[in-house]
Amino acid sequence: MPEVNPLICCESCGKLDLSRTRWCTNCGGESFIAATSKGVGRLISWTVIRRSSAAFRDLGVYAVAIVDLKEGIRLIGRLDQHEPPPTIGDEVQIIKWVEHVPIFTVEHQ
Amino acid sequence: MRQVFVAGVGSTLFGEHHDSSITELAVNAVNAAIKDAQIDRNATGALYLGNFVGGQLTGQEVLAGLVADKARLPCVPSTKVEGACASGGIAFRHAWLSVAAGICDVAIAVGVEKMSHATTSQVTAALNCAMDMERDGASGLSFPGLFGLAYRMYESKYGEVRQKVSSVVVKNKQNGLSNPLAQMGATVSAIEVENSMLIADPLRLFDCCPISDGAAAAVLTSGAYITEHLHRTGYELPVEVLGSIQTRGVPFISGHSSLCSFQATVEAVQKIYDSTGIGPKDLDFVELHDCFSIAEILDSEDIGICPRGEGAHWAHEGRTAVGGEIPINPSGGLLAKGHPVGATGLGQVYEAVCQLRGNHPNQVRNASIGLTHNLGGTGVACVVNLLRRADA
Repeated sequence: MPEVNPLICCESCGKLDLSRTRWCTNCGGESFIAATSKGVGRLISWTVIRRSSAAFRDLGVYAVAIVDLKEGIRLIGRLDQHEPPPTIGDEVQIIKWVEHVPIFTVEHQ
Repeated sequence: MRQVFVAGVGSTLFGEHHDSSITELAVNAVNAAIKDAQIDRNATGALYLGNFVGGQLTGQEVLAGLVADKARLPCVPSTKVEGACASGGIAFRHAWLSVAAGICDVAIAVGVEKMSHATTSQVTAALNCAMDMERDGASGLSFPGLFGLAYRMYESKYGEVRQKVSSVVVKNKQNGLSNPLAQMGATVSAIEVENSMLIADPLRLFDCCPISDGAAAAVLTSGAYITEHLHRTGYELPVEVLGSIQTRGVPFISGHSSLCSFQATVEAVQKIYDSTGIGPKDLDFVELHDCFSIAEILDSEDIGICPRGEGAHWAHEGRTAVGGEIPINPSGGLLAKGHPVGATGLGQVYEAVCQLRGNHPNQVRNASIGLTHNLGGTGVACVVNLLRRADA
């Protein structure tokens, strides 16, 4: 079964965050509800990990990216592929979550 | 707060120490610092030890007590502190606090790490623990990866800088070549840097500091103690600690508005400049946290040495060379001297004290004020120290 989106949002101000947060980084609120997100955002930066720790060896060579979702949250996740190389500012879409990590694909024009 | 002085410093070589245990490395540095200070080790009132991955990579904990015992220090509070790559700086600051607050007249700070016996994969996994493992580490990001992300953000803001970033590596490797403590000094060309293998795009092998073993230590004393002590031994003037500031930054990557700057550094230098009345233009040299080539550029801008977006140009134009207007990392920095993580912050203090005594192998002319900058994790901890030649 595919992993569900683990994002939550602050009940008072609506800011999105990850579910393991204990207080809202925007307003300090402590009450959260499940968030809906289209999973669409913009690529802020990316790198290719060519030397990983043993825990990630099965992934081979992989790209890690910083993405700002349209709903206003910055996420660290992986790109499903990095060839052709993406450009900062490209639109990206979350295609799935793996162990709470978002996997993005670059929406090529 | 009382005036505090660095009465002595000691360091092992930074590099590979296959025949020494982690405690032996630390004890060697402590003994060298005590000998340098010419103090009675029984006068020690506290020991702070900086270490990050000793437990994981060597299976040895309670390092502070073990090292104090092996160094034949009295049974005084002996404390290990951890703040990832800033562990050594934090140990120094706590020793400084003990003396400044009047808790004791003599405190020893030591930093140590032993890493080279482990595989690169084991070291990567151990160092990754300095990230928020829930938010950032789960993605498979590594520390070279973090600075690969920063590098691309810097280029997206200021334009292509590859050749200029290489200048940082060329400079620090060259400085390291004449520093006998350095692990990887070399004469390298920008072309060699740019042709070395990719580690975390766009960072290449020569953009990254090596995996190192090593230890460094400092003996800190009060003004009253040093006055009496100087009277007794008549040795050279100590170095004054004008300030020592520790800050806490955001512990996860998405909390930074940009990776082109680390708030922990910006706040630390602001506080030290405000509290001492000394500004970046008054510095004669800086030893800063160049864990990666791009880090030196970000740090030099955060410290206020050069304007935003100018760090790479300054390095390329030689303005940060030993003979330049503001020498950065005359020791060779982490890139060439090495980065035994828990020892690095004290290794910087060692280098700064040698500069201020006028006996550094890469001596900066008329050096009287130096700043050291030690950054930990993804910007979660920072320590900056301002040191001055006591007769300046």
